[in-house]
Amino acid sequence: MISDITLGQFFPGFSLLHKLDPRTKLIGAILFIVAIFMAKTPLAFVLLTLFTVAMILVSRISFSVILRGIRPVVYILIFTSILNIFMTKGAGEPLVAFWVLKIYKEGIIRAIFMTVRVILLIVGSSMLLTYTTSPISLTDGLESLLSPLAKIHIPVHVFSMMMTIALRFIPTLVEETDKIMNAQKSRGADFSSGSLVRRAKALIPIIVPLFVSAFKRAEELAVAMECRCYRVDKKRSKLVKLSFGARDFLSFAVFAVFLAGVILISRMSPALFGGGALARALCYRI
Amino acid sequence: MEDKKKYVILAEHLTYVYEDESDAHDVPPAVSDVSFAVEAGEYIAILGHNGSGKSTLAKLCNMILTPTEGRLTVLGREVTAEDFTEEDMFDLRADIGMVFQNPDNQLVATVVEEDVAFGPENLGLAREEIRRRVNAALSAVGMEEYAHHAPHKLSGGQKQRIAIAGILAMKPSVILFDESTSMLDPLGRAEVVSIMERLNREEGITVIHITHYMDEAARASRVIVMNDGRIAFDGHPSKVFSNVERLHALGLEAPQGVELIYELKKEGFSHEGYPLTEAECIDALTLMLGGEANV
Repeated sequence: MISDITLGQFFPGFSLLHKLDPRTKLIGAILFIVAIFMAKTPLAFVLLTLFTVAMILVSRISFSVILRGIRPVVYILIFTSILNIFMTKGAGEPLVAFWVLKIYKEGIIRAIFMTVRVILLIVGSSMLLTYTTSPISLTDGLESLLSPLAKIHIPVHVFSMMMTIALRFIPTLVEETDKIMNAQKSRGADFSSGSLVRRAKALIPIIVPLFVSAFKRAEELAVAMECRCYRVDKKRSKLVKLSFGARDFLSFAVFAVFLAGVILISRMSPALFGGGALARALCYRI
Repeated sequence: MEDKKKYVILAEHLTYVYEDESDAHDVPPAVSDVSFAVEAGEYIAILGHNGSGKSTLAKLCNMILTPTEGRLTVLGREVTAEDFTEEDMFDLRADIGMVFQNPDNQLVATVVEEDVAFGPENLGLAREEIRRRVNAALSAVGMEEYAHHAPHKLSGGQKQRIAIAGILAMKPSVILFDESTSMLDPLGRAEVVSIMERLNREEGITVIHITHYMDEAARASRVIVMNDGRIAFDGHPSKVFSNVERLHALGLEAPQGVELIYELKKEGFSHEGYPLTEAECIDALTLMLGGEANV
């Protein structure tokens, strides 16, 4: 069971989103997150939601997968929504007043905005990054984006090598943890009952052998890497070269226009849409 | 100097002592006064029980360890010379690859082909050349279809084949296998050994296989038996394995076929020499039985 753990979750595929350069997606994700926080009106959120749905459709990842991704945060969302609803003080009369609890219109609107914001944040960034980008190309993308830092002697390459090795060894170490736990269980160890302190103590016989073996692995791996002529200070070449294509420039343009659009829409006055009730509702600012 | 060139490895009176951190007592040398020469294209098995110094010997040949005493020449370059630099060492290492025991602890990348590319990337080769070498190396070990897989999902034997491909991609002329089959199941072992043999036969790569499986050693063209840091036997398997009693005294077994015929000979059956392979053993038994019937 625990051997299924991966960092994020990558769904291999051949959609446009999968084919984009990881750097495009990293920058795109940043622009998208900025757009989410710049959005102030319902109309802007409608636009953001449409954009996210469009990304999901393009990636051909099923909606049920996306919903599963949101599930872990549902309780947090409910909790913060309740806080928002009860704690926000509005200008006018409260909609409901019950004992010391008062619910204002502003509270409800704020709770809705916040929920939509968090959901879009999770879905949008995982669509662009973890779901459609393999860990290795994500690391490559990060290394390439951070490479200017090498000029001021920050060892970017070393960090990306560390990250690659960490990603490589996560499943191996998870498997090993499983093995050690089973070995301890077979000798009567109990990890699931007793007080918190007791359970934490029960983990020590797992953590110690795990660390010992991890250090041993690290040493062997270092020797193996040296035998394959790895040197930190020497320039290496790369099998896969990241390169921007037409689709990357196009995506950049889409993201930039989209960000500008969201900012602009958040500042529009209802008068632009005729000033009616619907226009006023869509352009309501919090 | 001239005749030294023809050897890929030439060890003269090599001694290696592991440093004892406690400094309390004298540590016996792991390898002591060992001399041998390996010619290009040989297929050598190094045998010995645990602590006999066979792994240390391999690590010396690959310059992971530096000999305490003696002279070592690898591919015509004297490794123990004063002017041998780290730069020279890395140049040489591309030519003398090493496959280790634990397949998990020698794979670096999260994708098979990226891992195979690791060595050539370190050499700073051009992208097209790396691509060519990766494809050639993967097909040499029969793993082309796994190029985009994650290494942790493969079996032990498959991982070890990827590790071999990673070494092959650097185009070495010598490959050392440091107990590379000891953590594998019988199927994985058979795969890896057959790859070793093919590389030796078809690509002319010098193979040095450190093992404690006698049946694997019997397939080599030369066997070196280590004991207490010294070479106990060095010769063709049929010659080495005929010393059954002395092998037993060293705590080693001969291959199964040899042991069987040895026992039969002790019981009074007569047979010329010892069979190394299963087929030879069957022949020997048929002959013996035939002889019996004729009397």
